[in-house]
Amino acid sequence: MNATGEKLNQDLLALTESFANAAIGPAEFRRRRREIICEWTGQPVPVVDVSAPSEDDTHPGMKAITDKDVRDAARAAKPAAAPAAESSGKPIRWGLWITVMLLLFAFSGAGALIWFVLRRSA
Amino acid sequence: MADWQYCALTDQGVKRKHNEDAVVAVPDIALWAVADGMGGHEAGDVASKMVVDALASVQRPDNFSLFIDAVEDALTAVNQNMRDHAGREYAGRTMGSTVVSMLGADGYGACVWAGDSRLYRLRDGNLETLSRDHSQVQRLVDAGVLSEAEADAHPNSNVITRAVGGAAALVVDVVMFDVRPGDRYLLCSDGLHNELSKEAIAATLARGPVSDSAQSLIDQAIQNGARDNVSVIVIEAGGA
Repeated sequence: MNATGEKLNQDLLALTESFANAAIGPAEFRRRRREIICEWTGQPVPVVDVSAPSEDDTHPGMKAITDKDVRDAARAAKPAAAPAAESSGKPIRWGLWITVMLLLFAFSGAGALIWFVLRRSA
Repeated sequence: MADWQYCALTDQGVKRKHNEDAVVAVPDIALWAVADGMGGHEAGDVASKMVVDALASVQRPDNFSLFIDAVEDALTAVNQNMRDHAGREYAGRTMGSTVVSMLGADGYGACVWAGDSRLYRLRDGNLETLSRDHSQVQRLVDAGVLSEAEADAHPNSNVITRAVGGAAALVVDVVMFDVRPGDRYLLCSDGLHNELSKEAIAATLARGPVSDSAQSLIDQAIQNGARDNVSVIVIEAGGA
């Protein structure tokens, strides 16, 4: 790469860095990049509608992604998926079952007591 | 438009069970790209396919700066689609892809990339890396903390700082370069440049027709163990 090319690319990379750090907005970033590139190619700088959706005000926020992240995420996803698969049937309501069993036991106990008392008094 | 010869190949390598790389060549508009997906089977391969499909549908305007904008727009759109897809299908699991693309014109070209897939140029026997990895070790190299040789052997050499799908807003880098007849360009995933030295890449890239060079690069990566998927596109610039 000759000196002119190196300077051009330094300018392009610095411009992108400014955009990535939100120092300039998307429309300004695109406009300045077109100017730099057209100066290199010799083509006229195009006039573009800056209100186009692709040049909105979204700014980047970079997060590093590693193979380790991917493995960890995959590992974390597996245990989460297993209970979901197991619980795909009707859930068992243990509290309700115990209450019903206790009530049945209490009613049958009371019934047995009443029967015993009435039988003795008869 | 200049006359281009090219050959695009991808291989799952020796260790991996699936190929999460993808390549695309659209010679009509002089666009070539390699994408290296991340996220495991049915996420990484989907991610890289989303990238190459988006690039395959790019329309080329006459103005080269607008061509670069169009490529960036396609990648920005796929970035959002990928994040939506990951949230919907994989419960937010990491899904992403690197991308390196070469855009050609008469006498010049551009490289648009995110991540650690690379573009090399071979001219007069000298191999030059035109892209610059978006990685933690590259930052250390730029800061003068590590040499390039130390960076290659660094344990965090696989930690990348940008990828399509990696963040809510995607930022791609762009560099321009001049093109001369006889120049050879190599787009590749890290599965190649992690297995072959620069000297081996330069020697192989210089040899024979582009199809032979591309196949030989893949073969050498496999011979060296190919721990990752390997993808290459070899492009030669002809006369105008």
